[in-house]
Amino acid sequence: MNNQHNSPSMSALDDELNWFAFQYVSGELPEAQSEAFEEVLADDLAACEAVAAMSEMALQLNDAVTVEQSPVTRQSEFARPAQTSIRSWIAVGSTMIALGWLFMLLNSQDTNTQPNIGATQAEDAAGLIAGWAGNDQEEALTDEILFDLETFDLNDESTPDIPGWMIVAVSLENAEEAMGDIMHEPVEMKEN
Amino acid sequence: MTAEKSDRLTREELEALYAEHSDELRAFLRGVLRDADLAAEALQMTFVKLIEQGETANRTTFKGWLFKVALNEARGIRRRSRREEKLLRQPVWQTGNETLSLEETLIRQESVEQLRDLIQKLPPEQQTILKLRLRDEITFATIAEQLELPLGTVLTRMRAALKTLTLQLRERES
Repeated sequence: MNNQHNSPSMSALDDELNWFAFQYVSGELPEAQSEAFEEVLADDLAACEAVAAMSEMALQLNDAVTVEQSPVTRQSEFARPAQTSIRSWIAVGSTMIALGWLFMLLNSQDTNTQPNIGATQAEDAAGLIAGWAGNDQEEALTDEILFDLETFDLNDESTPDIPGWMIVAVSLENAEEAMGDIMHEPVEMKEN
Repeated sequence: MTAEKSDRLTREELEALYAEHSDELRAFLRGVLRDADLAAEALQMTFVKLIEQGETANRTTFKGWLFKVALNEARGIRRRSRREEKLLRQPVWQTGNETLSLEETLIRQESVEQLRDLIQKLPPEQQTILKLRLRDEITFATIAEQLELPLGTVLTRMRAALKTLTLQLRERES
């Protein structure tokens, strides 16, 4: 068997042998030519080495062009953010549904504890009124209000009792309006 | 009888021959058989023959002897597989994945990276033919039809690309 030259340059014979070997390993040669080439392989070490080299070269070339350049690979790379986005939306949706269920659950628990709400709301209202009033005298009044609101039945359709403080407040407001009217009367008219 | 025994290859010699030639033989067998598993089987049988009959070979031409035995084993396996024609039409890169060690995988990856760089430096018309044949697995005849080029032109471009890549790889190795 002859041996192939290993210098960086390539002889015409090496080039021819490599090209034949590449066509052979690519399955491009017709059957008759493939068989003829195998007869050469039986006696020519250089041809065997060319087949080994081109076989390895073809495998590596395939890897090189497939991994980097394939549109399928590129498509999958671009598809990745879209998949992430879909997953994010699914996560957001799931969280919203879970929160919805939690909210409904809490609401149902609140309905069960409804009797306490009247007292709580009464306390809040009393606090607001106390803040609005801003003096001790009216703070004492708010205790009465708290008492009234606590005992107030929402389902009672009978004629509502108007609390005394409301009547007093309305009376005071009317009195202030009357005083204001008097105070802002034109001077000329007074003179008249 | 004693002389025959003394001519037989020692374990160290066998291991040295395997380390030196097994990669090239495997690539050769894969090129002939177009099947990674069948190539592995042929390689094993070749070294079994070496153990059994190695003393009959001229030690200065072991490589030639190994390739010749490997080719005979490959042709025998191909005939027995009853898919001789199909195997001969199949390109070597469709032959399934061979089992590589971590070191072999790293070496392969490095070579592939080198080739990728070199391919990008080829003239665009050569890159096109190379990719259509190896990536898209279109035969040269179909490429010529699709690109409306003479078949000779397609083959010339592919051959030029292959020559450039082989030379540049050799330069890098040397």
